[in-house]
Amino acid sequence: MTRALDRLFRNGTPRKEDLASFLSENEFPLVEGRSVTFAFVGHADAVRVQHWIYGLPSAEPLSRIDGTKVWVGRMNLPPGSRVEYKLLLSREGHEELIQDPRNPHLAHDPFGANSVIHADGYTTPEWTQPDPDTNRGTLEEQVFQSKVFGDERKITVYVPARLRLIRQYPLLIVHDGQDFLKFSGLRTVLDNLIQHHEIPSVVAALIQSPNRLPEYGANPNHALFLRNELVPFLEKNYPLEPAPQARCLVGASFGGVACLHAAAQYPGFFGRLLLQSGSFAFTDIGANRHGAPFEPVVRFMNRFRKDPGRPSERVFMSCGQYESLIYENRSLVPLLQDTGMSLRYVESRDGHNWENWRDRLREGLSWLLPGPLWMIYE
Amino acid sequence: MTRIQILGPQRVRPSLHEARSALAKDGTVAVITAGWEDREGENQEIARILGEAPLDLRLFRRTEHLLDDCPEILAASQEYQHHRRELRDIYNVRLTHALAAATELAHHSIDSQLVREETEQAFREIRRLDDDHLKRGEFLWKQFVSCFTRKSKDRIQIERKEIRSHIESCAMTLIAGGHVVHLLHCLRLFDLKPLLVSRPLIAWSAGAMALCDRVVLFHDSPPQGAGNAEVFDRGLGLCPGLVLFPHARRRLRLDDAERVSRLVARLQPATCLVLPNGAMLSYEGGEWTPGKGIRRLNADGSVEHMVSPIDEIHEETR
Repeated sequence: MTRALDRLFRNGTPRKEDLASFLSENEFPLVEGRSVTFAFVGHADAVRVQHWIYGLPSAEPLSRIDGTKVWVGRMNLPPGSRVEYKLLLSREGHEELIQDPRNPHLAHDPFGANSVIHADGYTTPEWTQPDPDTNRGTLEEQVFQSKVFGDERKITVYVPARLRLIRQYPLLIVHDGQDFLKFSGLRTVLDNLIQHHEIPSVVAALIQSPNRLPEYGANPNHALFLRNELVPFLEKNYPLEPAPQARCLVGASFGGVACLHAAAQYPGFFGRLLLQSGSFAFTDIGANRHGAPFEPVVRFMNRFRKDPGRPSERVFMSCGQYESLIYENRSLVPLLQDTGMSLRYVESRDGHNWENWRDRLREGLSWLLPGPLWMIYE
Repeated sequence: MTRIQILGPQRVRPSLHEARSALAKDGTVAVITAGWEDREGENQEIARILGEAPLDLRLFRRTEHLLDDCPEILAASQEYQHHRRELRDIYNVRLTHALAAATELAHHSIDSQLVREETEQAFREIRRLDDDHLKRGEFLWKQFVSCFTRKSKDRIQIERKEIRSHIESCAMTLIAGGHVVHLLHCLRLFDLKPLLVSRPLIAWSAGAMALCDRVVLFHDSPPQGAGNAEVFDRGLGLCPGLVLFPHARRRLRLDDAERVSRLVARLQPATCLVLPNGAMLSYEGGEWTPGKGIRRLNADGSVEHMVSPIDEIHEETR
């Protein structure tokens, strides 16, 4: 297949009208099989595609077409990839990161939004999108005093549609819960998975730490807070099943560390763990190279790798192949398997971001907490 | 035994009106929609098809009220559900490995008498595992009902008496689909099998599954997992020798002959029938007669359209 960019340059430098057609007739980034073509029109000294694919140079240069202010370039991406990026413009000694003006697809995160490439074969999962026929759960705000942290803690509680007080529900405790709501569409995902019977109706406590890195980074106080304060508070106020297999910790990145650490502190109490792109840094030899916030994480992980015990019963792990943490996550897999816990590990062609974590929720949650899909024949 | 009409799912191409006409033209119709759980009683669609409002027996509501009113039933019920979940988890661990072993043997590179015999033995082991699981489930149910006090039993009898009077006042009973486990739970809690056989019966989807000897849960393409069918529990045994598969087009890979063959081998000697939308199957005078749409899963993995009465139905021994 001759790609659009090759056709454009078939006879050397393209004519003005051919270039205009190339830009107006195609959507950019232009995905043709594995090839992804970028285009930018504007004044700059240099334009690069700044992405976060571990293993590739972090900025791929675009080339200016002679005599124009049009910049083009190409990357190869494996099928099913989803890549977040920005354009890095250099102008008169200054650099500026911008969203790709030609790309309508954006992925939001706590720091703003990135442009997104959906490579060949990637489609946004249907179950992540709002469905007017789906019954919606509600969000309740709760406040309570934490003796462990000595301050007031706010949590948002997702309550499934049609909650019945005489039933008992599994509990999800979601680290960075507000971010999961905003950037991973957690409420919509839960609504849809419950509606489609792929998970049972669940109560989800969405926690958001005011002091994230110290609290989530293998902090015994956080584990104590979960075990002795949050769970009792929730079990008192909601009809929850008081059993390990009905308690699921969810976390991504440092949140993943917080989950694994809490489960290791109280083995058997949290029977389900959903660990996404966990920051499971460790050292076989030498010093921690990840920076100060990782110090307690490395100490915990080194200790855990020596003697993992059996912290939970069932663990779902996921990690993007384009993340720097892929090595840490992969290396944890055989270790966790040897503990006798039931483990499922999946990888995706994606990075360290909220939509990657969103896209794995169906597979993870429906494995950890299978819904009545198997029981419903309407 | 009474006359029975088994139907496929009714949401698309409903055959309920036709089935009702075949059984009785007049009289009020009782309906069980307990499989719809919280939506029980929202039977406007059934009323539209029948041209009259049915009398809903409200088994789900009755069960919920029992749980509200009788703390010992609530406690026993929660314990029963907990043990059932535990049992299912354990069964699935064993089943996954047993099926993997049988499948691997079936694909063995050497086609010898020894390998064939060992493969058959592997399938026998799976059938034994399924049978053990059913027995375990029966034991848990017995444990559950043994916890009832005299007061609770009396309360159940009051409900049963009312249900009986409703059924007897009607020309026939319908059992709709939905959550097959909750439906079956309600049917057993009020011991409805003897009452149901007193009148003509129409059942579809989960309602039809609950009438079989064995309730088999199935989904070949779930969100994750191998999609191994589960022999979940005993049914009411009103369709002896049959295992029924509604929504098969969506839930079974019927074009995968090997998978179909494996399922049939596992469930033998039962006759495995597929119930597509609008399908009909009639029971009268000791004979099952397939109407439109009924298909049988065969041991060689083929899927056969049924046109003549079903012979050679093997009743299962308990």
